[in-house]
Amino acid sequence: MSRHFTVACAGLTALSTSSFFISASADNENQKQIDAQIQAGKVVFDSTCSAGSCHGGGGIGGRAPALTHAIPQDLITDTVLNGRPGTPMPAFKGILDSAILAQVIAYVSSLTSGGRQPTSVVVIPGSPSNASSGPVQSKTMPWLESNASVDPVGIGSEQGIPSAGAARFFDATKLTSCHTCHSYAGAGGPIGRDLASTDKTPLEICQVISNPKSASPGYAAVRITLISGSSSVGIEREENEEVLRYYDVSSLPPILRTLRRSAVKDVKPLTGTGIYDHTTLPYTKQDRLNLCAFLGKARGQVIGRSIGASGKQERFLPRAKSSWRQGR
Amino acid sequence: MLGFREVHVVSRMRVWCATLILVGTPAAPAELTPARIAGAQEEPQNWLTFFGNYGAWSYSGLGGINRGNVARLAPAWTFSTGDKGLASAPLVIDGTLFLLTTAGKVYALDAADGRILWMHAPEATPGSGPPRAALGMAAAFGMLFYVTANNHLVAIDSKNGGEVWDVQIEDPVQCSCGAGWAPLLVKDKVIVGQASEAAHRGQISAFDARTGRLAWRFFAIPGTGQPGHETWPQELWRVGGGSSWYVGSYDTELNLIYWGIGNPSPMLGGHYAGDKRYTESLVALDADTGEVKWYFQEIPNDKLDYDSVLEPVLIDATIGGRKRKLVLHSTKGGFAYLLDRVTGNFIHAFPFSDSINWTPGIGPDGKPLEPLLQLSDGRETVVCPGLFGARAGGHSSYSPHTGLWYTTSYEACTPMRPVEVAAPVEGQAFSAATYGKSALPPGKAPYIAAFDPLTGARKWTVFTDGPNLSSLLATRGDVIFGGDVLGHFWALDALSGAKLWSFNVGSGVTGIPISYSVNAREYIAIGVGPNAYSLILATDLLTAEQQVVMPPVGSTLYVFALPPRTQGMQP
Repeated sequence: MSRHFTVACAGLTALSTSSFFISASADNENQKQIDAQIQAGKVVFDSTCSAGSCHGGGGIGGRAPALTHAIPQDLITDTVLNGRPGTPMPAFKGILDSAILAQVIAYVSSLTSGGRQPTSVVVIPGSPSNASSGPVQSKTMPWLESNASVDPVGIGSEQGIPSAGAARFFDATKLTSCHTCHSYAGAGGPIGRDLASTDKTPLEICQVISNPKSASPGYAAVRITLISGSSSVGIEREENEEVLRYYDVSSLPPILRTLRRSAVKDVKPLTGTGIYDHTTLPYTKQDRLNLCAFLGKARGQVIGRSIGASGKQERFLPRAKSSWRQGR
Repeated sequence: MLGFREVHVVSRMRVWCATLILVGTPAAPAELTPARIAGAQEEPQNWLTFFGNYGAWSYSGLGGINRGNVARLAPAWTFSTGDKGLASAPLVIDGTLFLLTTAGKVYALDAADGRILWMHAPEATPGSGPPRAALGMAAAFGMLFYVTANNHLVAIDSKNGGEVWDVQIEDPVQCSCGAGWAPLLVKDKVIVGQASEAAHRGQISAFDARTGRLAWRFFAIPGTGQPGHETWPQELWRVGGGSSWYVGSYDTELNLIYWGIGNPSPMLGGHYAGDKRYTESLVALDADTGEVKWYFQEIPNDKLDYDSVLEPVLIDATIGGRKRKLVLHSTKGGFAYLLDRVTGNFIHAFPFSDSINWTPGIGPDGKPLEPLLQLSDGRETVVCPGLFGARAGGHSSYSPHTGLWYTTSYEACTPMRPVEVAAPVEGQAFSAATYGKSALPPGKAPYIAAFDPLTGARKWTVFTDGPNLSSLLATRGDVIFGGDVLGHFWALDALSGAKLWSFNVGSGVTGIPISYSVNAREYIAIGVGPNAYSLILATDLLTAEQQVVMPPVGSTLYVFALPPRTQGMQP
């Protein structure tokens, strides 16, 4: 009897424990998605809703009302989508796409509830994007140095620091920063491929950067010859019966040029050739190593923890010291 | 009696007619060149650049519509865009009116009757944020240039609206910034300012008009090793603000561009020391290189967001028997500064607002006198002028015919309360105070006033129903055109301020009036319908009673003219 009881109890415990784990992991997954949505919404809010001195950073209020008191989520949704007639609050439906609208609503909902809302991932009623209910894209401000590791990564016999690489990748003081053409996790330019999803090691990344003959498929260069006889090289973006559009990267920032088809004689791929000679970019050797460390998959090559000269991480600005010194 | 300008236009028409008879096809007007823009005063039938000329006068040399007959002004045609709001300034080039709408569409219309010649719709840019209304375009070389909500500068073909080139000025997500209110074409370059309230480093960029290539970039905050870098504490220079917001002016002889630079970040205070050059300055840049020829900082280490970004008005005048090249620069702080535009030397400053409590005045060195109003921790301080300054949107006008400068003052004040400033994060809000609703101090009312820029003497004052958020247009007919957010577009006597005419356009007027002529018939055009920015201002500056009677947001271009055969007649 007692044995049975024990087994039953153990079984029950096992059962409840496993179901607890199942629901906890589902809850965790749900909460992760909610958090990602809120965090993404904050990015949009900070640049769109707090800017122009409207709702203020963190919704503290400004020219528009504060968003720090309880507001029902339905009202938030309605206001964000449809605006508030008679006030400067515009309708954002059709201006921002629905995934972004959902992120903003999630963030504002979290602000107005002191973090208790939302309890599920926000979806926009009747939006077509609900059909493809994949995970909400998270924009995590990858340009912030603090979002990358400060731990040095071994690259051959040398090493680079991912956070310093992130700073160089997104350095707004330089036109030759990678983000002028490439994005990382969705932030940055559309000309080269997004570099967050690479499966290359830091060493392989360094080899790619130093070998311009290795463009990713879909981003290779074309030579466009005009009927007038002149020709130019660029990265094709799109074409239809009327026009051909391509990125001219012979100077930075890149220029999207539109040519009438009637003016174009032919377009030929420059097979296997990367248009941009990355070796000419004014990176120091250490810049390059840091970038490789930032972009490559470390695969356990972390070799230690770095401490700044002051003994703590510099909190003042999201930038690597190395890039601070170079200025404009 | 026809004025001189009309005779000029008529004689030009005769030449065209002669050509028509000889060739049998209409002669294509000469392509718009920078030289023509430089001589814009010689062709008042056109409106070739944002302010009408490089001097930022917002003045039309047409006088057929004048203070004697403006009371008969009536709509000639209207054009509705279908957007919300319309506050941009059209361009008129040889009989075609080009209009940038709030949603970023561009229309080419027959300037005589509003017929659509072509329309350019921008490609959808999901996630680019709500349109920050661009206020106008630049043109030359058979192209039009405009900025987009997602911080691109775009060139389109002025014959058919086809896109030519498109360049991203700066990543708008990372910097949380947009482009300034309109591009300015100078020689072979298109120049654009930058607009942001976030932690960022302000700049002005020049692109080659024909190719779209970046020609130069002026950083409003000097980088390491550059003069003025030492005026910034620690690493603040990377995100210390200095947006330019507005549009500059240009002296063709000196080859200098004049552009106003806005507040330092954090906005509204903080405890960072230093003069923070070139924030709150008027800068004179070499048009070819973007190098600083001179600068004049109006407010060192500003802590009240008194953006020195308003239009720099170029005035030539004789002072003490000497011919002088001058620039009159007004700021949100309520003072107008008269400088020598060759050297940047300060001549004098005068208040154009009656509602100023942040400084006792401007000293002989051009700097604000102590004691400066300080925001105190833990309590509210009423600041005058308030958050939107004496004037934040809508530009002034200068009439060389009357020699007077015409401006608006909002007169409102704003209560502000300091908040703790976190470390700056690029592209994120960076402000040191929060604020309440603006209000008029007792006994004060918003007005439009005329000043002698050389002495600062006020010639007349007209109090208005609510703050005037429109730009002003002065004409050689001695009429000042403007409008109010309650839906009236009106004409004032440039000599006395008397209201001569008013027309109910059914939606708030916050746009930019211009004047042009086709076949010697003169027109006054105004975009009607407040854009999002103007609505923010209106909501903050209007009383509750006024907000109730504010008309709905329309989006229509109104074009007025005198009934046929009355133009040029006296009453």
